[in-house]
Order: sequence, then structure tokens, then C-alpha cells
Amino acid sequence: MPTFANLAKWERRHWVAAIAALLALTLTPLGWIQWRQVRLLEDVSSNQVDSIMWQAYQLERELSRLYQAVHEAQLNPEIADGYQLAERYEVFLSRIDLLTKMPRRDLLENSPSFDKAKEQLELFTQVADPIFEQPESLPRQKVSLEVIDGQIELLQPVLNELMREANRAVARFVDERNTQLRQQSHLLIGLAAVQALVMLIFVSLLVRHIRRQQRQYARLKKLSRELTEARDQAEAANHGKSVFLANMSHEIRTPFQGLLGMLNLLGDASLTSQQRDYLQTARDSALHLLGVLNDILDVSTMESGTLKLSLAPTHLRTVVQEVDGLMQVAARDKGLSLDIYPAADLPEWVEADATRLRQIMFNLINNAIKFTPQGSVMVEVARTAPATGGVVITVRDTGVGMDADTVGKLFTRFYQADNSLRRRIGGTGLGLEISRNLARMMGGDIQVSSQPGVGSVFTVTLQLLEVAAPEDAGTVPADASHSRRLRVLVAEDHPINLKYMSILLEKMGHDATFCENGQEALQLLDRNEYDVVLLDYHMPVLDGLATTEAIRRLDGPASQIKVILVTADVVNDTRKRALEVGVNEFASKPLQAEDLQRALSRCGLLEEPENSVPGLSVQRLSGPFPLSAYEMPVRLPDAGEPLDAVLDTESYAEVMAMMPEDSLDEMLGTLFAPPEGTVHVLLQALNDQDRAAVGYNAHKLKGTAMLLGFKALTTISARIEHVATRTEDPLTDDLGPQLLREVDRTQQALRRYELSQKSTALTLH
Amino acid sequence: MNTRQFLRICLLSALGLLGLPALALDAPKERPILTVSGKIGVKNAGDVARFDMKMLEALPQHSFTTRTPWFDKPVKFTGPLLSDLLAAVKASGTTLSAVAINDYKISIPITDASQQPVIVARLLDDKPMPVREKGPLFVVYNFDSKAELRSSVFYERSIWQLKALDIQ
Repeated sequence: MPTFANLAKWERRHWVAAIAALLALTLTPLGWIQWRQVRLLEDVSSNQVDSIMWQAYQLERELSRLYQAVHEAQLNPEIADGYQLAERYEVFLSRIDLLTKMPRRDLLENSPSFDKAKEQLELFTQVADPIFEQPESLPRQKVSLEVIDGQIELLQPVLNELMREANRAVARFVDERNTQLRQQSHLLIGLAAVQALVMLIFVSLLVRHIRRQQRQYARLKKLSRELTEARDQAEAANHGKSVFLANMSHEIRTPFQGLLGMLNLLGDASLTSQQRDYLQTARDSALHLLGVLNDILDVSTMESGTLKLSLAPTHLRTVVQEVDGLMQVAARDKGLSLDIYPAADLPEWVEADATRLRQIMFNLINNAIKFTPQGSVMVEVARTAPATGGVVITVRDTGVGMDADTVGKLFTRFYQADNSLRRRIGGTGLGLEISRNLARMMGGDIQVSSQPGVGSVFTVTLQLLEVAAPEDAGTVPADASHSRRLRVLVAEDHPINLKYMSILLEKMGHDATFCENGQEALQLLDRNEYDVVLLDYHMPVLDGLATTEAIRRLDGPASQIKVILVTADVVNDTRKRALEVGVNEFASKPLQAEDLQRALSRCGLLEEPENSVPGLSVQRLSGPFPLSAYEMPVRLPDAGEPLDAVLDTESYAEVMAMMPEDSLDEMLGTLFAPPEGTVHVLLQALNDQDRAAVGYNAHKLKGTAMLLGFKALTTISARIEHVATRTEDPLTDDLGPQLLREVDRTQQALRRYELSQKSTALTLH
Repeated sequence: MNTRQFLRICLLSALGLLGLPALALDAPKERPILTVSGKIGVKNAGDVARFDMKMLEALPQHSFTTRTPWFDKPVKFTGPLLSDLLAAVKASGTTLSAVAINDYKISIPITDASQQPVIVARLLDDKPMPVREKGPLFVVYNFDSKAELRSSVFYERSIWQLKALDIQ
């Protein structure tokens, strides 16, 4: 039954039809049978079937009475009444018709006794009729009476037989009726059985249908549970990815501090023009890399939902001017004209995240410049319709433009208008996505209209609340060049960062004291007096946050000291937590002089730098500025010189150039001088089989060796660190001798290098 | 029906009270075929009222056609209404005992006559009935008019070869 089986597909009319058919199928025969029974009863009552016997009996009885009357007339002809005799005869005759003309006479008609009786009765009437025609003289006609008498005697046995036949006929009729009733009863039982069967089929179909639905429901529930689980897993995986990205950001940014810092310091050294060119290339590459990194970080923080806008009163016109100033260079490089028009009625101060606002503008203008081979880029900044309280930025270019299909896919991740352009221009393809997300976070959006070959128009609408100017606005100190000499305590475990910071602070004119972790910082704070503490976020023993908490719990004035947290972590959560435990300011890694200067001045320890606008946090391109990667022109450095197996002479040369000779000697001392030198501490730890100490010192040695370009030493220390921290392998006895051999090779190489340098210097002179 | 009965009784009593001469019932001129006895107000032969065919013919005639258990097809009955006949003799009882020539006897409640037309038939299919054809008089109900009439009770009350009525 393929059609029955699929009850779920039945519509209302199908159900109605099925039920109607079922009812018709079962009720029609039932109705018919009932009707038949009613008819049967009607028949019995209206036809008086059972009266056949009565009539036969009455007929016979009337005959007897006639016989008796005739006898009496024969005996007493004097008193006999001929009329009464004739009437008796007439009554007898009426009985004949009653029997022979009754509706159900068919029950009798076929029997021989009936035919015989009819025949005899006819004969009798033929004889009797003429005799009874003269009733008044009848009693006296002896002969006639005798004839009648004789006829009656002939008729009596016939009618007797007829009565018995009538009795049998009635019995037959009753039998017949009983048979009919029995048949009908059987039919009724059969029909009821069919009805029950059909009902059963229907019910079973329904039950099956319901079961199937229940199973389907269960399947759906299971599926939805599985989907929920899958979603949870996906979310967990996504969260894991975000955490991984945040961690990676830290891991990548830490060495970046060293890289950018050193590059910046190198710029201050006396260099040849070629060296300066190399330096610029290195800086550009580093900044490009930083831009890429920042893009990825922005996307990951946006995805994890932890990106928060830091709203502050912002001078809108200044932001626009800064963007103008920075972008003009790029436009000019490409031979384009860039015009930025801030409207006259632009709100002066708005509540905004200046950094992010700049980021949006940079992205869009940069894109415009990138995709415009010639012509101009025009930027308008104006109020939106008066009531809405927003700002609209329109970036118009005369560039290559895009077709509708491209516009549709423009904001999808990693999408770039043209693959050939991507190769030429570079970039992560995340810029527009980030910009739009930022615009949306600011209560606005970005719209695009473009025409291939004509140009594109990007329109940004932002909800920026107009606010009153901050109170300290305009109180620019007359002489900002003067700055205090501060006593700075620095807690930083990484030797290179430590070195870099010491140089940085010295150049800024501050007194710096260093320690390796929070615990040491606390001890120093207890003994000496400082103006400010710079804490690294990640430190062994006691990290930045824990140290801050501990400082705030100290007795006396030391607990009120200003704390600046140095961190590569851009996640807002970290900052929020840091502020909660009592951190005053932040400085981003890689640490820049401007950053540190600003952090110090925000702490109230220094006046604002003279190039800043009050209330604005000014950042330079070289800062941890969230520029997109493609802002920076990429110039790959030339292929490097062949390198010595032990020593990266170039790196070492840079370090030498940057550091005063005593600092370098001191640094080499921290590596090689027994018994405190890292090499010796590591050897001792290997000897003691102290895995933790081995791992920590190997890591420390690796960092310093990398900075100084001690390649062989870097390799061996990395291997030891790996064995100690990443594996369960035993610290074999050969590690110590290997380390010693590499140390030896390095020291020999250093001596050779110094000799060669001296000879080169001599030659040059 | 009760109302009608009541009205009839009122009318009859009123006639009686006013002392109006009762409707005279002539003596039968031909051989009498029906004798009414018992509680009757009008008599024409001692203590009973006798009717010949002419007198019955003089009463208002009614007819209907109906099926019966005694004929194999519907037949037409014509004659005076039993109620008219009873009114003619000022019958005042509750039951009438009917007797046939063949000595068949049956009790008929008088209410039968008022609840439906009951004919004392003298014509069958417009022809007089001899005794041999259940004549001369035949009390008959209109069986086709009501289902409840098609029962043995009313078939029994349909008496043929009627010769006497005794009102009780």
C-alpha cells in the first residue's frame, strides 16, 4: 500500500475522502440490512401471515356450523329459518375468499391440497348456490338439504387437509423468515468484522504515522543537539584560535621591540648614506610586517569580540590634518593630488577613538591612492544631516574603479579587487573588513559606489557625539623641551629588551635601575626611592599584574608609585584587568621613546611633549600604530653576504656600532664570565640535571646570542632549551661539552673578527 | 382530541338540557341489517336502534382507499363514519362491543372513532358487499394513513359481516 503508507503527505481532502469512504463502506450495508428488517416486520404485521392458519381453521369451522345448521333444518324443518341457513352459507363462502384472496396466499398456492380444496369448493358452490337461492322454501326441500349434507361431508376431509397444509405453510414461512434473519445477522456480524478490520488498519496506520513522527522528532532533536555541540566545538576552536593569535602577537611583538628599537637607535648613530639607506629599508620592512601583524590582530580581536573603542574627547580637525600630512607623502610619491577638505561647520570636539578613526581614514585613502594610477583623490569630511549628529567622510578617486560584482565581494575577507594588482601592491586584504567593522562599532557604516574606469566613492558615516572642549585644552606649556630626570625602576627578564631599555632611558636622560622580575622589583622598591616603575607584563616569578598588586599593598609612599605596564597584549581585557589592579599607564611593545614619553607625561611625571595637541594621543608612524600593511612601500633588502658558520658578523657589527664599548664588554661578560655568566650557570644546571634551570638559562642564552649574532651558540642553546622544556628526553652528558665547544668557537671567532675589523680600519685610514 | 370530545359532550348535554326533541330515528323500512344497543339516547325498536341499508346510506358518506391484510391489492371503502353513526344514536359509553354474523366479537374503544376516521363500510370499490364478500357492513380503519394502525390490534377491530353494536 504505497499510497496509504505515506500518511504524512495526505491533505485534508484525502482524509475526508478516506473517512467518507470508510463510513459509506460500512454503513451502507448496515442501513440496507436495517431497512430489510423493517420491511420484514412490516410485511408480517400488515399481511397477517400467521392468519393463514386462522383463516383455514375458520373456513373449516364455518363448514361445520353450516353442516350443523343443515342437520338441524333436516331434523326440524318447521322451525328452521331458511334465511339464517342461507346466511350461514354466505358466511361460509366469505371465508373461502378470505383464504384464497389473501396477500400471502402464495404460501399455500403451490400445494396440491390447496388446489384440491379450491376445486372441491368450486364444485360445492356450483351445487349449493342454486339450492340456497330460495331461502324461504329451503327447510322443506329435503332432497336439496341431503345433497348439501353429502357435499359437506365430502368437503370436510379436504378442508381438514388444507388446515394442516396451512399449518405447515406457516411453519415454512417462519422458517423462511428465521433464515432471512439469520442471514442478516451473519451479514451484520460480517460487516461489523469488516468495519473493525478497517478501523484496525486505520488505527495501525495512524500509530505507524505517529511513531514515525516521533522518530523523526527524536532524530531532529538529536541533530539539533549535535549541531549545538558542533557549534560549541566550533566556538571553542575559534576561541582557541583567537587565544593563539593573541599569544602569537605577544611572541612576535617581543622580538619586534628589539628589532624596531635597535633600528631607531641605529638611526641616531653616525652612518654612511648607504648604511642609512639599508637602515631605512629595514625599518620599512619591519613596519610593514608590524602593519600586517596589526591587521591580523585587529581581525582576531574583532572576532573574539574583545575589541573595545577607547572613547575620549577628540579634536576632529586635528585628526584630519594629521591624516592629511601623512598621506600627502604617499600621494606625492605616486604623482597623485590628494585634497582633504574638512567642512567649515565640522564639530570641533567629538567623543571618539582617535586611533581607530585615523585607521579608517588611512585605510580608505590608502586604498584610493593604491588603486588610482593617475588623477586625484578627494576627501571630504562633513557633518551628516543636522539632527543625526554624525560625521560623513567621502573618499573619491579617479582610479580603476570596480564592477558591481567586485563591489559585492569587496568587504569579504582577503578579497582584493584584482589578483594581478595584489601581486603588484601587496597587503593582507583585511583593511576594508577592519574599516567597516570599526565604522559599524562607531554606529555607522561604509558604502561604496564605483564604475570601472571612472573611479570609486567610499562613503563612511559615523555617529560621533559632539562634546565640549576638555578643560586643559589649549594650555600648551610654553617650554616643553625641559624635562625632569626621573628615577626609573625597570623589571624586565629579557636581556636584550633590558639592554635596549637601558640605552633608551639613558638617551632620554633618566636614571634607570634594572631587575629581572617582580619579586626583585619589590625588594628594590623597599630599599630605594623611585619616581616610576616600568613592569613587563610577562615575567618569571612575579608577573606585571601580580607585582602591581603587591606594590599597591606596600606600606608607605612606595605603594603610591606610578606603574607603567609594558605589554604587547592589545586585548582590552588585559588593560581592563591591569587598571583594576592599579596600573597607571601602558606602553606598547616594542617600546618607543615617544610612547614612553607620553606614558610618563600622562602619569604627571613629565610635561607633554611639545609636538602634541592636548587631549590627543599622538602617535607616529614608527609607533605601534595600527596601520594596514599595504601602507608601507615594500622594498626587499638585497641578498645578504655569505655568513660565517659561527658568527653573524653583520648583526654583531650593528650591535658594536650601537653600543658603547664598555656596555658590550659588560654584555659579553654576562654570557661568558665565570661564575655568574649565563653559560656557566647553564653548565652548572646541566650538571645538576635541573630541568627548569636548564630551560630558563638556555632560553636566556639563546636570546642574547641571537641579538649578538652568535649563530652557533644560538643553535646549541636552542637545542638544549628544546630538550629541557619540550621533551621528556634525559639531559645527556654530552650537552655540556657541546656547549663548551660552541662557546670556545664563538670566542675564537670574536677574536678573529675584532682583528679583521682593526685591520680593515687601518686599511681604510 | 380531548377538547373535541369535551365540546361534543357539552353540545350533547346542552341539547338535552334545553329539552329539544331528540333527532327522531325512523323505524327501518327494509330488512334491518344493524342493531345498536346499550347506552344510547335514540331508539326506534324497543330498547334498541335498528338500521336498514337506506338509513345508513342517509348518513354522510365517506371513503378511503387502503391496503389490508385481506385483499391482495388496495381497495376503496365507502360508508358512514362510525362517529356519525354513534352520534345518530347518542351513544354515551366508552366501549362498543361489535358482533358479526359469523359470531365474531370484538371490543372497540369509542375513542377510536373520534381519533381517526373509522368507516362502517357498505361499499367495496363502490359496490355493495354481499355476505360472501364480507358484507353487508365492514368496520374499517384507514391503515395506510398511520403506521401504528398497521398492527394486529386494529386489524382485529376491523370487523366484517357486522350485525350488531352494543355500547357499554
